[in-house]
Amino acid sequence: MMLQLDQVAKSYGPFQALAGITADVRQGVVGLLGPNGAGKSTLVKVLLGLVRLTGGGARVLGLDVRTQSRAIRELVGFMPEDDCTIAGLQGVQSVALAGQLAGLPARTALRRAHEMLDYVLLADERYRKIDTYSTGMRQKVKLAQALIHAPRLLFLDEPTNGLDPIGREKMLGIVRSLGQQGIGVVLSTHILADVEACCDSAMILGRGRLLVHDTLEALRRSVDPSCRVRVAGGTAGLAAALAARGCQVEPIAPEEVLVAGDGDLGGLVFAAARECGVAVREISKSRNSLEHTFLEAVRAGGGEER
Amino acid sequence: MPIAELGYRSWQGVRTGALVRALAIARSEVAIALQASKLLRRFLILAWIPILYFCPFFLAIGYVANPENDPASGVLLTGLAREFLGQAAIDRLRQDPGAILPGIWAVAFYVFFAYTQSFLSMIAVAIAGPPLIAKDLRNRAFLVYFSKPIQPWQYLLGKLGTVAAFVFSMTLLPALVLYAVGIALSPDLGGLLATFPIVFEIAAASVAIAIPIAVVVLVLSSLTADRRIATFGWLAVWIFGEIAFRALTVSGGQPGHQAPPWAALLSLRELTTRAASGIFDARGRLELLLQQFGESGGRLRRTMRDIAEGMGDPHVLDRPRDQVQLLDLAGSGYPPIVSIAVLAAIAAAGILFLLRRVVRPVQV
Repeated sequence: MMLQLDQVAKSYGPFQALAGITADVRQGVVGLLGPNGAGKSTLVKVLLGLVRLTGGGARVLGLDVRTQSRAIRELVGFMPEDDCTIAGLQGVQSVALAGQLAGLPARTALRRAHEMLDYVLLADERYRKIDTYSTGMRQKVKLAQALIHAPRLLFLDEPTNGLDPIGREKMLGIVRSLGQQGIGVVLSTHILADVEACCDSAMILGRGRLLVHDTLEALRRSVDPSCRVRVAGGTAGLAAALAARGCQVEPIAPEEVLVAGDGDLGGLVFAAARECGVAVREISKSRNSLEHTFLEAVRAGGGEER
Repeated sequence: MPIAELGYRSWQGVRTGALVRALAIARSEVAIALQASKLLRRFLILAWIPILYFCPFFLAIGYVANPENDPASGVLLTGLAREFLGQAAIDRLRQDPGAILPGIWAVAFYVFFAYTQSFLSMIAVAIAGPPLIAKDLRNRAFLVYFSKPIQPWQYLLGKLGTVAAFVFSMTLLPALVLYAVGIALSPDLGGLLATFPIVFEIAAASVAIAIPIAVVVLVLSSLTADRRIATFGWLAVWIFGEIAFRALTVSGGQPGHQAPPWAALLSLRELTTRAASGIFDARGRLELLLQQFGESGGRLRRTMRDIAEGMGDPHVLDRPRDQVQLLDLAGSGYPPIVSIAVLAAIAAAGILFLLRRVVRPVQV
């Protein structure tokens, strides 16, 4: 088991950042989803032993976070969300230092720093001072720092923040590739698409609580087989035509209906619209449970997507 | 498309110990400081200039202490030795070098530490020390350190080691070079045996200077994310403390004027100087040398007069011998061990403060 969480709680005075999270997380790439302020970063810091628990217990790779945090940090890599750098060092020196801090001999750390920077696709810029780096370069350096000591488990906190679309795609490709090589990954993010792109399972947090934890395959299933249809020219005829085809139709606005039924709903809607001469302006699939729960969490948490 | 893409490769090997990781922090910080400041690099070179003054001293003393050397043939060196010690001291030195050399050397090293190197160290620390923790606060670098298996004490040891490295390069290293020069010029191996304990005194004095000032500058650095404020704090602690101490010590300049016993507590440099005095036993050895040399003149005596003036008792050498309180030369009011104890207390309190302080930024 990669992570075992048992009523994990953390509070800062009266504010409860984590309110009793319980979960067993298997090896793989796990998405830790939630709006800003849901407690994702706090949970990651708790699991690294950087922040003390105020209740419950947790084990990472079988090690207790209360008593074996140093041993945990030997085995895991952490890419923080914060823009944290050691000013004055070149990129490659910065990664090599991270290796030495993790216990690699100096020469090995430098060799491996170059390997990791090759892997994250940071070319000659590695010889520039890190203070001059763009956000994307800093993200790459942070990932290389997290990987240098060959961790068994990686915590990535918002790894695609500040990346352009190509950079984001490359970063997610690296995450997928690490997962395929057997390295456990916990991808903490507020971007649903990132989780859908590379995770095997997802945990959704909201207001410090675990709302959902399931495989992505299960979470992708629709909550109910329905779609919203917006038309021009009235919904009465369309409703009758759809009803004749065995669908349940519920008007929800003057020119909008909710259609439920089995089979290819899109095909049925277009056939019915053609038959009764109305123009379909929009068909939107009903949300799957991943989107649904995530958006509920965002609304409940008062959060907003960046 | 790459010709050969290695992809991600794992690594297995023996990990280094806790001290090696702290050393990695120190090495990296020393490199950053040297790259960032041309002034610091120049200062490190400047710190070796006093050696040019002390080398001829050791050369001349080594020459005249060797009974096989004819003073008449080495006129220049003998003249130099006479300038430093006076003729009576030279005669006494030639009779029994093993008894006299360690005292002369210890006093010379005390002067080297107290009058040039401790001052230069304070300036070097003002350049290299203030950014050490302040920049980590500013750049949130704590997460880089503590997301790795690093404990707060290792982080602090690395930072302390950085300051200590600069102080040692201005105290320990040049002093050991001077010692090596002295040994190379001493009359026989007896000189090495007689003066060997001085090596430990040099090391101890260097530590007594380095650790307290490193702790104080790190405490100041940990209080702000702006290194300029930390630098100002350090200069305030050093310069205002020095001014206050001097004002209390020399006020009036009247014969017999004594500074209050607590005056030295105001000046960090004065405390370190007095600690060095205690480690080199400067008082005891000066007394012994004066007894040995009688009324001999020379720079040694003038140096003692300078020390006396600095301590607020410029007339000490003019009083009859039995009334001379040479203890006053290296610290008025209380013995140097008190300075060592005060510095140890400052260092201990500072380290405890820092251990609490450096953990806090991570726990947000």
